[in-house]
Amino acid sequence: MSAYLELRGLRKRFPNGTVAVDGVDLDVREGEVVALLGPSGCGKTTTLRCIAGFEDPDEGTISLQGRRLDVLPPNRRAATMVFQGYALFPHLSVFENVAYGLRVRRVGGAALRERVERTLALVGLSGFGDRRPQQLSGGQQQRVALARALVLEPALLLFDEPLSNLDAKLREQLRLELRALVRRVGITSVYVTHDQAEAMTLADRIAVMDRGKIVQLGTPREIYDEPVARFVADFVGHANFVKGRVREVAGDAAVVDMLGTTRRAAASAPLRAGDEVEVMIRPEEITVLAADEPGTVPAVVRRAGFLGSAAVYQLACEGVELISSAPLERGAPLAADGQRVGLRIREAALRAFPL
Amino acid sequence: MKKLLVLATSLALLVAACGGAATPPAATGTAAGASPAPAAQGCGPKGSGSLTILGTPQEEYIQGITKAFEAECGIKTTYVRLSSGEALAKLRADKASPQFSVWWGGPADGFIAANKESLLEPYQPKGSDKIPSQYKDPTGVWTGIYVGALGVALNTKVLKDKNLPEPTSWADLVKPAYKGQISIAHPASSGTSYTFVATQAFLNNKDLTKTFAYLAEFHKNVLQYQKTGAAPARQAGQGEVAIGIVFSHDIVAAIEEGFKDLKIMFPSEGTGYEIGGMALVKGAPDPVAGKTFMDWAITVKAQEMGPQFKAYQIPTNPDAKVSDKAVKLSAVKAVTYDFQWAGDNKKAIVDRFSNEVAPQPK
Amino acid sequence: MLSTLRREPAAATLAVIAAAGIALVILYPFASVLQEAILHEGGLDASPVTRVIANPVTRQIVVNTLLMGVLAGLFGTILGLAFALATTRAARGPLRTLLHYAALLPLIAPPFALALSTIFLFGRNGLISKQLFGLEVSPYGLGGLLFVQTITFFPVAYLIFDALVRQMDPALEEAALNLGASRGRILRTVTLPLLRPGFAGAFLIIFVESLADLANPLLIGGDFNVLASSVYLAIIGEYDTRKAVGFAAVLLVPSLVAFFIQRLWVGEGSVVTVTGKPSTGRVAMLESWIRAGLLGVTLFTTAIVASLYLAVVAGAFTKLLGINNTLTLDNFRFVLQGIGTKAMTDTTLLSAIAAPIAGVSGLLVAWLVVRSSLRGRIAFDYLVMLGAAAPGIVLGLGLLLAFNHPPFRLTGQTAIFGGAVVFIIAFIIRTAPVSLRGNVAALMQIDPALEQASANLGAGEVTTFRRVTVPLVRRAVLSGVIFSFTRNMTTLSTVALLVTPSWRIMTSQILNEIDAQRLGSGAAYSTILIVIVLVAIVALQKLFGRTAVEVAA
Repeated sequence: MSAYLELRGLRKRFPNGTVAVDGVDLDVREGEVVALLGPSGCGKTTTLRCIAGFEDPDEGTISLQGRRLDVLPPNRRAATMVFQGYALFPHLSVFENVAYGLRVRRVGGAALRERVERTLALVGLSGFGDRRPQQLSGGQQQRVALARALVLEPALLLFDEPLSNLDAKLREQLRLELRALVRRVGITSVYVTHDQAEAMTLADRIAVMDRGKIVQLGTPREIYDEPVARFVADFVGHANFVKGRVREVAGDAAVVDMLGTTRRAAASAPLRAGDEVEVMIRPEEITVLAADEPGTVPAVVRRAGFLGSAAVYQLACEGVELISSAPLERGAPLAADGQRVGLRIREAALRAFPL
Repeated sequence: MKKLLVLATSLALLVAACGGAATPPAATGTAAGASPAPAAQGCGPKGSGSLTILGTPQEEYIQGITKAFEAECGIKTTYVRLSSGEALAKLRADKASPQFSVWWGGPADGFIAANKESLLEPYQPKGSDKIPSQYKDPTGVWTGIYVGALGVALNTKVLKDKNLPEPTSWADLVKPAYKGQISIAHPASSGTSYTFVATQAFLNNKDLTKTFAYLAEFHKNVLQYQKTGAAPARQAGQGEVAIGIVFSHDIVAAIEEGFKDLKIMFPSEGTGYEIGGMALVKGAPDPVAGKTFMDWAITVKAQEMGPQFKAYQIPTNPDAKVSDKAVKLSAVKAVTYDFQWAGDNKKAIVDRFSNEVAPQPK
Repeated sequence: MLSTLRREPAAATLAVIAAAGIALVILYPFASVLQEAILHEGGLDASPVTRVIANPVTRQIVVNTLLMGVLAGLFGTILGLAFALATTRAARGPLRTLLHYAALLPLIAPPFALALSTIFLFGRNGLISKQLFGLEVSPYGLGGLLFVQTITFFPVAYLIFDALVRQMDPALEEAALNLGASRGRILRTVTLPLLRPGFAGAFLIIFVESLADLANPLLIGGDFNVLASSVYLAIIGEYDTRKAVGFAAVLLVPSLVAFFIQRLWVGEGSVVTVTGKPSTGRVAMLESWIRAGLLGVTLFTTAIVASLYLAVVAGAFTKLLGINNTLTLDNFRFVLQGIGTKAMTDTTLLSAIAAPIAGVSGLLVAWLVVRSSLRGRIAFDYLVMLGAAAPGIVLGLGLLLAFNHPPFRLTGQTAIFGGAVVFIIAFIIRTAPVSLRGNVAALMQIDPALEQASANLGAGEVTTFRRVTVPLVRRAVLSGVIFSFTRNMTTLSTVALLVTPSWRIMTSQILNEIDAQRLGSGAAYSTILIVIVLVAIVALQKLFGRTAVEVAA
């Protein structure tokens, strides 16, 4: 039983020698939204462009619904894309932009009009059909680009950082709208982004990519809570990394000497006693308490920051710098710079990565 | 010896003919009002119905003649105007696939030179028996259509402004006073200019060393060699130079155009003249239509058309009326012009001129 | 290539067609020249070329040609710079507009027109030189040539400098002013150094144009012989192809070298867009004495340009300008009753057929060069540019040598369509390069994502090209067509060797009139030609919307 979209051993090397995609395997299930997440240059966009047909992979296959996609020219693949800069045709009206793919498919007359109007309504742009793309705001343009792709009811939707051109606030709003819309239409999608919040919000599963490879594929929760590599832990959310040594291994966990104390951490890979490791501690897993609180690790506040809903502390602990971020109840006191404090570190969230 | 005799006779006849032509119309029997030969006279078979002429006289004349022929005989006729030397070069280049049916006009020397290279097809036009024998090749290689004497166009105003005496002889033209004041075409391209060069050879009894010595001196006074023979008349008329060396009928035309300061001078030593020829091109695209044109071109009607198009040459058809404006050749002292010699030696003389005279500094 | 065929079938097909076309109409004629130059009777024999160099007479022609090119380049560049500075730094309002148009006017002058009026006005019996001031000047020779060429070609330099001045950030000059520099010092230390690329570009382009000039040396060169006219006379006067090819090969070398140096140096920046009106920047005026100097030079030039144009018209409407100034329509009657009407319709027809083909083929090759992923696509660019880089007379000679015999017999009136095809080819290869440059620049400004979006939405290459690419580069294509039409109408050197009686070309008819020193009819022809070109430009602009006259330098 094959997946809906299936990438097998995808490899792409550019003429200048850089290997953009280095053996990517990916299965996307029907109706699922998968985000390709990673820093720029990780190969996520190239992977997407291989699916769309704008790049020829050197090796590997791409199949959609069991049929080979990579042998088809770009215009014969039922995988429509929402482009980063929207790529709206400046010489065509909003209506004609949305109608473009239908006209190519020889849909005309009332059917065309009805489908375009319906899709424009879906993205909240009824009545904007006669405008030129240049007359719309960034957010509206983005929705036209979406409508242009959606109107074809494609087998697969491809998103190439569709929100990256918008300012932060609009991005946040559209992220939620987009999620609702994608869920509603239920089209299988591949979504490329470097913004983890976007990936977390929109995707059913996230493929974190680094240097042309998928490092981890999982639900947002798995990615966040159980990163399989230091890279994933570092890239998704914030993390403190503390050096330590494995004292003993117990099943999936390791007992690690760190920060002058001993903690139990989930092992991301098989470990042996005596191994040097780095232990990930999420900032929200560190609670700043009074210095004399039992079971805490002693530390000094370097700098206390007030973010309204949360307190962020920059801490020095056993010569290591740690960040703590925790919700701050209204009126609760904030530790002062230079104050000695005790840190409570939640063991369940620790993960050890071999060095 | 025999040749010389023929030449002498020709010249005598020529002068006689010209003189005769210049006498009142009654002598030729073709007064202005008298009915010309029937229109259909020259119109033979149409061939393919279209014809291309290579013409050498001034463009207005060729254009008028081809239009008239087209109107009269219903054969669509186009033309290209090239000066004599250019026309010969073009015929030579097109030898493998000739583009033109008839070469019409330009000094007979050019036709004789072309025949030497087997570029022409002999044809004696219908009615050419009327043309005096000195105006045609006995075997029909070329047939004369007009005659004209070489002259010197003087711009009297420019000469007066510059306090220059009016030259009266070829010898005067090499005087340093006229430096930069003479316009003439290049003999390589222009038949007019070659007639001038050949005339100097005949004045020097075909002694080329003496001839080229004269040309070298003459060269120093030339402003610029033109491409087309008739151009110096207008250049002198425009006042750009004082002296232009051209056929006298072209000077008449220039004066007619309004260059009022021009005057015709015939050098005292005697001048050369041209018989304007016409010939069928060998391997012509449409020899039938070409022959029809040639037949028509020597009819009285065609021969009298010149003045309409500012062409004031003397027609070769003795029945054709001579324009009042034409230069009376009887009054002109002519050199003994050996067309055969001029044609046979054309290439060698022109090459020598191009290499030895034209490039020299002034 | 296989994957290209699969992914870009239209591009691959187009590339094959383009390669075949380029091979036939560009490479084959050039190869014919080359073959004639270095091969003879089966053996290697470069004597036509070496003879040109070895013979002192012809060597002087080479020296003359280079001297003329260098001097015309210098004078044209300096005058163009003066106009660019004057329109941006010394003149405002209507004065600026006047100078701007005066600097564009010579661009549409047919060959001979300016030299013709130079004889009318500044000849030995010139209206201005002799009849007004009683001066004895002779325009025949290097001096007259340089005068006419400078007036003819300085607009090219003007356009280049004008574009550079506009691109210049006014803040740079403001910064210098703010740091205490005087206006004159800023001009010397900031403005002129920033214009440096323009000097090289303008000089080289004018050098190439001057070398290629045929009409002016024929009319007023006097004894100052140059290579282009030598090629022409070798064919027309003697039909000596080996002699012609020798001159042509020698002429080709400096032309190509200068052209491609310029291309590499100035690159795509050499495509200059001129809008109808000069923009009003924030730049400040220069100090008054510099302004006065600039305005003096440019207004004097403007007066000359205006009087030259007036003289053409006056020459056309008078009996014999300078001799008999009676007004008359005789010259027009002569032209229109004679071959002129046919020449007008023939030239307009051939130009109009060739112009859209040149415009579209420029676009197609630009698209291959910019958009396809074909290997070696840049070769298309350079090969097509050959058509503009080579002097027209060399191109014409190549076409003559290539197409006057089987298997492709296209010249002469016995060829197919009476030889019309070779004119159209000549027009296309001469003007397609300009369309190519304009379209390359236009395509580079279009985000490739637009075409990818179209493909992604299901459109094939052809649909994408038709529905997305073409509408977006419409202006560049139209400019290419307008340029092609005007250039076709006014070119002489390319077609001078190809004339047939079946097709009359106006410029070549002008040459005939000039040859016979019928200056009045020459002026009448020129006037008609100027009117046709102006009407065509205005009509095309009206027809296709408010597009500015765009000229690619």
